[in-house]
This record gives sequence, C-alpha cells and structure tokens, in this order.
Amino acid sequence: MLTKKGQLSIETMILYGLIALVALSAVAALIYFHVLDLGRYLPDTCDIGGTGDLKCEEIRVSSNGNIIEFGIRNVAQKNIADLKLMLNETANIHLATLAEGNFTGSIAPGEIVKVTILLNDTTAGLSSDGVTLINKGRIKQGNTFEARIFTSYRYSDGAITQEASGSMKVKAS
Amino acid sequence: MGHHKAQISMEYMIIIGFVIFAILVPAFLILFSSTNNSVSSSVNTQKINDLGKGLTDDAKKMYYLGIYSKETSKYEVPVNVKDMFVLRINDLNRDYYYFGVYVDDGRNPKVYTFLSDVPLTSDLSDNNVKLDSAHTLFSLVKECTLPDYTCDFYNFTNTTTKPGMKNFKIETVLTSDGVKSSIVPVLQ
Repeated sequence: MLTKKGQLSIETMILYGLIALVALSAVAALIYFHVLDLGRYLPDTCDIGGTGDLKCEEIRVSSNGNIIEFGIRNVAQKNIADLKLMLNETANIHLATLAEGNFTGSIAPGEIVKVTILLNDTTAGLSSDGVTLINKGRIKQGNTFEARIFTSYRYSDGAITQEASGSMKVKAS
Repeated sequence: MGHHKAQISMEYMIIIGFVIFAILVPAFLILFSSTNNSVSSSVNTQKINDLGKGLTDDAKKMYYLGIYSKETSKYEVPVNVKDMFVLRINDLNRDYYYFGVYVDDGRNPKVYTFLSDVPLTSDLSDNNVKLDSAHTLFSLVKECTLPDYTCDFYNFTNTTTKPGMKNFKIETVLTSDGVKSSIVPVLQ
C-alpha cells in the first residue's frame, strides 16, 4: 500500500515536470521566433560607444515605423564633422541590409543634432528563397527594434576618422 | 506507517530541491556571463577614455607651462590592450598628433584615438618606446595606409600594455620640429 503511494507520488512529480517542460519549451519557442517580445517591457537604450565624444540622448521611431530618429550630442570639447550612423539589426527582422544616416556640417561642443535613418523598405514582397518579407523595412507598433550602431566622425581640426560601435533598442509606439 | 510517510515527503523535497538547483545554476551562469561581459566591456572603455583623455590633457598642461616642465601621472591600463602609441600624422598640409590605444578582446578589436591640441612626441632613447619602422601599426589607422598621409608611430613596448596602474612621464621638450610634449611610460 505504502509502495503504491510512493509510486503515485513519483508519477505525479514526473507529470508535473513534463508539463512544466512543455510549457517552458513553448514559451522559449515563442521568444526564439520573435512571436513573444519580452523586450517591449524594457526601456529604450542607445549607446554610441567609442571614446565618449558623442552621446545618444534621444531615440524614437516615426509613427509609420520606417524612420528612426536619433538625438546626438557632442560632449567632446572640440567641433565634430562628418557624423555618420549605421545600423546593423541583430535579429534581421526589419532590416535586410545596413541602414545609414548622416549629419553633414559641424557640430559644436554641447550641441545636439538630429540624425535620421530611413529603414530599407525595398524588400517588401518575396525574397529569393520565396519567403514573404511583409514587415521588412518597418517596425510594427508595439514591437522593439534592436541593432548594433556603428558611428564614424571626424574632429573638425583632426585627420583621422574616428570609429565607434555600440547598441540600441527602441520600441515603436 | 508515519515513518514511511516522512520518508516519501523527504524524497519529494530532495527531488524538488535537485530540480530547482538544476534550473537555477545554468540560469545564474547565463545571466552572470551576459551581464559580466557587458559590464566589464563598459568599465574597460571608461578606463581607456580616462587614460587617453588624461594623457592628452596632461600633455596640453605641460606644453603651456613652458619648456622643461614635467610631471609623472598615474593611469590604469585595462585588460586586452595590445598596443599603445603616440601618433604623428601628416596630410601634406600639416601635422596632427594623437594618442592611441588598440584593444583586442578576441571578438571585437577596436582602436581608440585621442586628438591632442598640442604637438606630441616620445623618447626613442627610452627602452619602452620604439618607432614603428616596419609599419606594423599602420593598418590600425585607415588614413596611414593612404598615399596622401605620412605617419610616425611611437609604440610603447615591453610591459607597458599589461593591465594595472602605470606611470607616464610627461614633459615639454625642444625638438628639431619645435617644442613638443613628450609622453613616456615609466616602468618600475
């Protein structure tokens, strides 16, 4: 009688374990295939990296989801010119290739400028392997967009093109 | 009868404990590894910025204090630093001076260059400084590989790039090109 109780208890535990395993696997699969986006609950981040001459202070996605705007401040003590930002999406959902934007002109110390990046919207339709690329080039409302940021710029009185790499995450609202 | 019930309860608790342990350990390791990488990378970047901006600021200060002014500054060299150098670059019009640090963590090599407001040099008679005559560092700065630019790399050698606190002697010297601020690593 007691052995049977023990057996029942083990069977119950195995059953619970299997249910938990199946549930966890399902959640993991939803996250992996970007159906469930847990990142939307985290705040937006934007880090330029490098020698700390530039600070990304603002970031937002346009209402139609195909433009990302950055507010970049020159926190160095020198004028900066030829600022260029490139995005390389980590998950490859919205971008087929690198997207880039730039600010031509000089940025004085302390000045903040807007850099606009138009996401590649030419991939809508079918890819070469027949996969539908409906949402490429646009960020759907409520979705998050994560990418590596590659920045290049030059001090107005310098010779070298400075390069930096950082990361960003923004939610389309 | 009661004794057996207690045994089953204990086994149940032990199994649950093992399961929780088996889930928590990998979860903790994954979390620790991901946060540790990003945190240590940020700390490293901050240390490099302190080093580069600190040395170029010190050089500027010494330069404007006048010839033969000197001081020794202490800065922490972070991990994964492969090269440290003073760079003179000429674009056929004028000279520009930079202090540079090359970092390679095995995944994402980066070159940090800090523009100096004053002319920089280093002391080639010092054992810890070598002129890069073989051009091994030229690939670190794209402009140095272009025909319109000439570059001189004063490379800091020996244990200068090893992590830890390092002293740097900064002094204003008179060279054949005029007055410059010299940066030389001082190893104990």
